[in-house]
Amino acid sequence: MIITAKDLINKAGDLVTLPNIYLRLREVVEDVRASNRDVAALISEDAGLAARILRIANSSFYGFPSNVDTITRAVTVIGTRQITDVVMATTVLDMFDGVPEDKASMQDFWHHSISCGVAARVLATYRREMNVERFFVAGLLHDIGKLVMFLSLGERYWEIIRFSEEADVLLNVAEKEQLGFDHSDVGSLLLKEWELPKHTIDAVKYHHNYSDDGYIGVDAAVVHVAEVVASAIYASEGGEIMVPPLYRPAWDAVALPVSIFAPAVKQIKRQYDDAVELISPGNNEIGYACA
Amino acid sequence: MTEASTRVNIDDLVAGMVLAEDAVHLNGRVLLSEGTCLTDKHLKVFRTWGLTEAIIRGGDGEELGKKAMQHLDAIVVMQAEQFMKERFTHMDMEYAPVDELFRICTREYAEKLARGGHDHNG
Repeated sequence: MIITAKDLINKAGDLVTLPNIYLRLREVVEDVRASNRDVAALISEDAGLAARILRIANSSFYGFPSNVDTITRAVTVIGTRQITDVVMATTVLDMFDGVPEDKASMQDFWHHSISCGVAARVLATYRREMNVERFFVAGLLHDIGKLVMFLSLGERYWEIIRFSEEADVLLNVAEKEQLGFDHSDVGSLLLKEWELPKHTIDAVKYHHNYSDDGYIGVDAAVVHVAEVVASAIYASEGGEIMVPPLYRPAWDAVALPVSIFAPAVKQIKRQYDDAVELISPGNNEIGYACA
Repeated sequence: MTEASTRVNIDDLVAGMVLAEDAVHLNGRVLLSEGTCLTDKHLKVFRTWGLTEAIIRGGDGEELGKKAMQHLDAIVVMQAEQFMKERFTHMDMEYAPVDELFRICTREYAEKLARGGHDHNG
């Protein structure tokens, strides 16, 4: 029987469903008549989310100079556009959290997604992008297709992963050989179902398949470079990882000088720790050093 | 007439170096002009503005790279290079950004080894 990317998404089911609050938030933000107060009111309905937004607004990850003590103020300082991305990020991280960590690779997935998100955010900052959270989200989501495959293929997916490691073949190539599609196809299809913006879907779809029709948007290029940098940092910590090849058109599209790597690497490491602290305070198990 | 010049990362810049070209911010603004002798105050300004490099008179990039690792044991540096080369197998080492990333990662890993850190496999 031939399996399609769509089958896998259906099988993963509830675990990869967007929560209602995110869908409603998106509606409110896109409604031109809605005010910051409407957005704040909606967030306040979900006590857990409200507490988290306040924690985020006051974290070193944002570094706002004054204390943010109300949701309305948090919405104002973070911005309504960016706040949907922040909520998206927390939603995705919750999804990761719900997956059993019975395999070491799941831990790696966690680590890699967060560091890629942070790396994309740092690169976007150097590019002086208006909304850096959008890049954080794209980086976090770039491998969401893998999560779907873990959940729906089970042992068969582990076999593909083992094969790619033993034969030293890049995972996306092994997936394509075995299934006819890879995790970027699955991931981008899922995001399409979630009705995420096109730039995010494309960033996931093209993070290593760009050559299909020669298209590469800035989001995809930033995520691609972010993945390379995040993998290289992991290797510099002693991690067992093959750094994926850097695609020249992607580096050209990012349009940054080579010298940004040195300060960027430092910032990525620092922001990674901040991000992990935000997600699960007191959890030291997923530090960059990955003891 | 053209004197040798070197592109130097912000971290490797020290007071006393002389700019061979204007130090230009990403947005195009000239922060300091050619011929300025850098002071600690200038370096602080560079960091504040997020400048990542400057072109200085004289010098030799390779020498600066060696200088950055000279406090480390040569064997440790070799080990780190070997380890990192295996991880960069799929990379084009002739490509400038790859080379820079390799240099940074090797330095980081060598420092980790020197501190007595172990890799993931123990």
